[in-house]
Amino acid sequence: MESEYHYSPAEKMATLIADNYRLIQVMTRFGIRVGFGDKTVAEVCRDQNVDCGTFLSVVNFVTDGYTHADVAGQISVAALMHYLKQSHIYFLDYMLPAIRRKLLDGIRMRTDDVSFLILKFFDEYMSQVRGHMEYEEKTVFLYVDSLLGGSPKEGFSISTYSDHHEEVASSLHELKSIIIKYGPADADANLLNDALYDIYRCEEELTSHCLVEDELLVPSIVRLEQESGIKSRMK
Amino acid sequence: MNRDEKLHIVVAETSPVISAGLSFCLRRLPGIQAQTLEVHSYPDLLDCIKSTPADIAVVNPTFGGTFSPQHLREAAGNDLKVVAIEITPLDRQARSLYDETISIVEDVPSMVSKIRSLAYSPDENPSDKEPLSQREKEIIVLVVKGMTNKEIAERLFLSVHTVMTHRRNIARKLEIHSATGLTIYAIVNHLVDLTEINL
Repeated sequence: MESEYHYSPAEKMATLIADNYRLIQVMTRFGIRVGFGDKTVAEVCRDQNVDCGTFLSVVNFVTDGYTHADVAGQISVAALMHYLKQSHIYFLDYMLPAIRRKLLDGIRMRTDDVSFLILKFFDEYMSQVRGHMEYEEKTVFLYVDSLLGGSPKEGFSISTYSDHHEEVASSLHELKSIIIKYGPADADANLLNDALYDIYRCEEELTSHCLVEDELLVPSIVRLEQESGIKSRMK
Repeated sequence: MNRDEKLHIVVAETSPVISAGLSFCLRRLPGIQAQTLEVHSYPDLLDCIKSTPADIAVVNPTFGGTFSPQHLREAAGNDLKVVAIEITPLDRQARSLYDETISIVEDVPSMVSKIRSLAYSPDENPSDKEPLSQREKEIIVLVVKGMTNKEIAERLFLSVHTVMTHRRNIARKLEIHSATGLTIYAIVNHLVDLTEINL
């Protein structure tokens, strides 16, 4: 039996969203707009100038949670990097600031108790995530640009790509448990719940984002390196 | 593995009903944070464990033609534990090839204890209800006041190595790894007063 992909290019785009509403995020980051009627994935991608193979690779990975051996061959590295950059923008400029606002209102921030420290924890976390994403854009993405341009930068190979991904999601885990165990008792319950829901979702989405980088980006760069004759030091 | 990390379990079973049921049970086991993936064919199982490292694979012993637990461990390349799904009882020979077996009529407490012993080493296991020692509380106070490990060691007449061991144990018991997190813990539990620390 051959391994099979969950969704094919002939699937209707609307079916994907009906099956799993979280795929709306993937669609948006690829630049696909709603209003596509009953068109198939292939048709929508063609109309909206999106690389269909890359889009489906991300969709299938997010849906199934693992990749097939031949996945790197389906991916346009440029399209995937564009997607990842859009994700960075979403987390840094939209989602994390929105959580901060809810947290700020929910814990009724004062300077004389732990509510202040909870916000401090969050701010430290945000700058950690920002640092991580900036590192990726400045080193990994620039390196890939140079690879795509045909003159790869010396001294970097994707195998040196550090894996401090774990921390990015695990600190959110810590924040959640601190709010739940030690949060201020006089907080506005609805606002704080809202912030907590968002933190759970953010944790899931960040974990998924990091997995896309590890399981889709890294293998496709390794393939690109091989095509450019760079010997990868990956095991 | 670390207690506050999610456990990655792959359920490999051709029957979608058994697969979904088992996967659902594993995710709801009390005290175990598990995340599951379901695969329905042997090629998919191989792709899955090669691309996404898993801690445990729960597999139907009659799964696919060339399937063997040892082959699977080798393909995974990590410390993958392979568990057989027992739909009909396995003989001793077949059982011995697996790290564990889970019967489809298994009850929840027994599943919990099996998954625990596969996933966590014994010294990690009883930690969650262990209280902080007096020494650990002293160290938290000094960390929160901004002292370095070296300064704490000098103050308490300990080696830096011992201080670091204490700090690791504190992080494990409280599931708090950051200085700000420790400060919050210390204030809420009245180990220090907010006026005593420099923020």
